[in-house]
Amino acid sequence: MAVNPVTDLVREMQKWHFMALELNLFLDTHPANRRALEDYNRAARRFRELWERYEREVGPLMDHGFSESPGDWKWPKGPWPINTGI
Amino acid sequence: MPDMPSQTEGAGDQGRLPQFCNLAEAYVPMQEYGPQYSPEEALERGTLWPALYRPFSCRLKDKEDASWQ
Repeated sequence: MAVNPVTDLVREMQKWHFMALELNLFLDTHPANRRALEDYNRAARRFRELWERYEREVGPLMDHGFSESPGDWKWPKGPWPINTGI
Repeated sequence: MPDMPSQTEGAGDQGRLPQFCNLAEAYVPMQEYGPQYSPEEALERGTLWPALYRPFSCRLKDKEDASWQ
């Protein structure tokens, strides 16, 4: 069971990331399947929204230029993955 | 044709082989866009597809039969 809001958010991200991954693999062998493509795009959009929400509310998810750090340098600040209870 | 082992839960009848297959050639049936688990359940089971869910379960009979144990 989730223990805090950050854990809930990370769990939600994992779910939609996995959905996108599975549909990605299906599309690798069925690139013309429109339903798979629509479902993939929906999962990717949901994942990106959750990613953006995480960075807005918690902090950057990647360093080395993949995420901005507005205001101050947030990368060393928590929570680290080991702190999220996942 | 001898009986094939029964499919595990959820495997259903998805995936089709050609009606006529050449002898001595291996075939992999193409996956069809079938039923999906919910995102929560997919993450738990490690697959989005009920047709691909094959949990490993070692039954007692198999253990007794396994010569490597």
